[in-house]
Amino acid sequence: MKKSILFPLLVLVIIGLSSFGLHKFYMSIYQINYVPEKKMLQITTRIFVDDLNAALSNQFKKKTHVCEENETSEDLVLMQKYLAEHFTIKVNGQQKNIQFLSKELDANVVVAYFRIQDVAKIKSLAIKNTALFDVNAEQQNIIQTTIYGKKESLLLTQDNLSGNIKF
Amino acid sequence: MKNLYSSLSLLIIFSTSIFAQETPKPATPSEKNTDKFKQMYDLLATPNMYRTASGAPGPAYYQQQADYKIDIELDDKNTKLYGQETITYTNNAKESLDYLWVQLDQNQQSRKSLSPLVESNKTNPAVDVAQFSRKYLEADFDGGFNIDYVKDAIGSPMKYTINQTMMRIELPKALKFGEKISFSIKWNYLINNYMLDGGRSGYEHFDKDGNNLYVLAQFYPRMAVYNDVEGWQNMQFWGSGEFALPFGNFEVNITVPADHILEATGTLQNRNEVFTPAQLARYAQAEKSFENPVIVVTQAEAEAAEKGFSEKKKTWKFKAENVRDFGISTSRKFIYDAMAVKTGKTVSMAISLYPKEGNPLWEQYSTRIIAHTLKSYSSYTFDYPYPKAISINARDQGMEYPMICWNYGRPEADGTYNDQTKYGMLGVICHEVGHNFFPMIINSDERQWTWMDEGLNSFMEFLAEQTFDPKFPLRRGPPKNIVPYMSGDQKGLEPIMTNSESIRQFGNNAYGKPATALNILRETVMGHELFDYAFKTYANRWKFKHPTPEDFFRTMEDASAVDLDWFWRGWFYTTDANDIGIKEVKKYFVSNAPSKEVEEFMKKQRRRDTAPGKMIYLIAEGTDDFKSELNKPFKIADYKELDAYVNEHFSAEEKAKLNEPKYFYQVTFDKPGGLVMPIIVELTFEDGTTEAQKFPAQIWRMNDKEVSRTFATKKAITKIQIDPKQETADIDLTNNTWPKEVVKSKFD
Repeated sequence: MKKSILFPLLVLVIIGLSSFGLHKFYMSIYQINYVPEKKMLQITTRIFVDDLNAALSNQFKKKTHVCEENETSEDLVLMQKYLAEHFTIKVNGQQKNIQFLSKELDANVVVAYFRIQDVAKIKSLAIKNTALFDVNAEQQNIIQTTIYGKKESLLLTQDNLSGNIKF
Repeated sequence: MKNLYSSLSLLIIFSTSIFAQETPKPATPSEKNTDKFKQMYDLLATPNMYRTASGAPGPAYYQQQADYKIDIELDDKNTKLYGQETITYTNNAKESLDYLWVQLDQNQQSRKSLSPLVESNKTNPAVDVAQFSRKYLEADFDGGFNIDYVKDAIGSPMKYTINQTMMRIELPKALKFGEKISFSIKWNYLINNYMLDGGRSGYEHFDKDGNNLYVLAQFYPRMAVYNDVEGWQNMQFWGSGEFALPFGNFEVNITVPADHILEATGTLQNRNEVFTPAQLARYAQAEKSFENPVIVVTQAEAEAAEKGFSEKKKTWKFKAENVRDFGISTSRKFIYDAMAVKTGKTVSMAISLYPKEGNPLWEQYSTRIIAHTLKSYSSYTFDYPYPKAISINARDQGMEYPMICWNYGRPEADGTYNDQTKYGMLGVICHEVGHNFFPMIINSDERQWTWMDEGLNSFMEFLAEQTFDPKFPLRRGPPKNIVPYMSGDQKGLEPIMTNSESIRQFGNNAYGKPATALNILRETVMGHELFDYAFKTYANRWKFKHPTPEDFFRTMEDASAVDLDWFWRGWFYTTDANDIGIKEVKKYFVSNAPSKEVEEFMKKQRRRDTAPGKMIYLIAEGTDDFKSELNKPFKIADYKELDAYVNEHFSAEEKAKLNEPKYFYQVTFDKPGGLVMPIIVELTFEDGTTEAQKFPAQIWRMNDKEVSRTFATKKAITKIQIDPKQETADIDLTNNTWPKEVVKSKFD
């Protein structure tokens, strides 16, 4: 691993033992679909906008406004930087570049679109996702894959940072 | 006439025989009835004298009563709470009780709690030092109840046994039907800083001024529920499944530092001892203000109080009737505003308490959204029966108790806030105030079924938010929002009918999916009128009672005459998703001559001497029998036999009223999804006009994979779309249109 600091300062961490039943839930969904004819992995991420900005502000020590009225181009760069650091995919054992395409706001969720190109075939996926674990101890990152018509899911939490799917 | 019928029925026999040849036999185990419309006798409890098959309380329905007299004192300096209570318990069950169970929910915060031991955790390869220290070096917070005594009415100690979060009190003699027993408990516990140790109650510490803001609940030993479905509750408080509580009357005296402002469940008995004359006058004004909140304790007063740290004490005295629980919030930091709300004939107070850190957001919105919530929920259920509803601003909390709830949402330090913060705060207040209806009054068992209060409440919240502000970003309720969850790998999901402790995606499973299901029932399956009447019936039948999931499912059907077993079965008892597609569209043209296949079939029939009468034929475009001259809009006059039939059977006046379609389309729908749902079809015609058609879910009852419909139209169809308004949570829209549309991808 090149990155020496995996987890930046955890200033905002809330160690909730039982606040699970609260109205606010810390959960993101990452959908990963493989399109063989385009040799492409298509990734759609759904992250609560307030949690995302809290994570960016926490890591970069700068208030960000992704998907808010006063969003800046730097905010978007930081979002990509943050996700690139916290969300990695190895295809057949090889780390791949995840290319950001666009994003939009749906109610209170930032829906962002990414792709990985030149994936001729998939034997295995190793997915690591620690996004938002640094701001909410109860964060759940749900990974949903549809590859060769087969659906799989991973439930990643602070106690389970990564998972493998084999085909 | 007879001829026509016999030939039609022949054709139907003919077409089904073709179908039978083409479709391979499904490999369904023959011993199992997989009909998705079969009635739910296999899933629901048998109705009885306690709970009827109609979903109402039966003639033998009973519920227990627990009345409390409580004195508590808050030690603000040491964040500790001391209490003494007398519980009077009435046994309304026909059977006698040998022991009582009391809930000690704070024991979930005890060092001996089993809750942390049932969590799977892997070793985290990189951990923040503070977190490492908390996880591996420091002793856990010890917040369980310390029980000083349990005594009977004459002061003799009673025998008790504590099992985790519950305490069994043994009775010297069985408590018979109709008998009451009084006993007293004295206890204390260390209050948790919920920002550090988690929990649905506790305190928030403000470093800047040294004050605490308390939100106190589960602060007293509470009676468990004994009823006809569970006997005594025996599911411990692990942390996710919330509470099950009997109704009762409360008298609670709360002693706190004299400079605190406090609110709690129930009616304050000594307002003139705890408010200043100016505050009393402002409160009296608030009681008459139905339009705007009145500030009762001002920000200036709160800012002065938070510097005080008085050594003196004050006791606030409350009485509450017919409530299942009691909550308290107290702090020096509280600003207090209030207004009156009318729901039907009853008048209640909407009240907000917040620290200055909540302003300017809170003084502007909190009390107003409380008032709106009470009105909106009342319109779908019953007039709000309690004297007040309070919203407390507590950081990162969203938790409900009778008449009082804690809600998050604060602006930035400079007082600015964005739409997310504003709508987040409005949403949580609406939701938590709404919990007064579900489960505080319609008192379902949260320990077993989170969806019964969270799902119904999220649905009511969804309705209330839309009328508060048309721009409200609706999170739970719109069908398309549940699609990412429901389209996931089914191994990673569980049905809504899953116990609260075993749900992996709590927000989606127990809030989002049931709220969406109810929205779909109301908008798409039942319609507003039938749904609203049935929902109101459920609310009124089970107001101040303990309903089960069966009571809800049954009432919704019983009061509407809409059989919903297929809907409950699919949406609540499975993880199936909805996916309906257009498999194929065939254009048919009317012909005087049969296709070869039909002709051969007819020949055989003739040999058997069962020749049909006069017929006309429909030929599919693209088949060998299709000839270009057939390609024209249908006209009765072009077909001699039909024309003759029409002229013979109908007068000129009747003829004018006949429908004369020009085009025929056979549309085959397939269903990759496991749910059965109505097929909503939008036809777009050559002139750009559209027509909507809806086929009830029962269209799938004979064939769960594939059904066909023929559309006979006056204008040529240019486009067919399923579920154009995305009202059925269809997880794959790529198969919803004909001709297939290339959806512009976000990825190219």
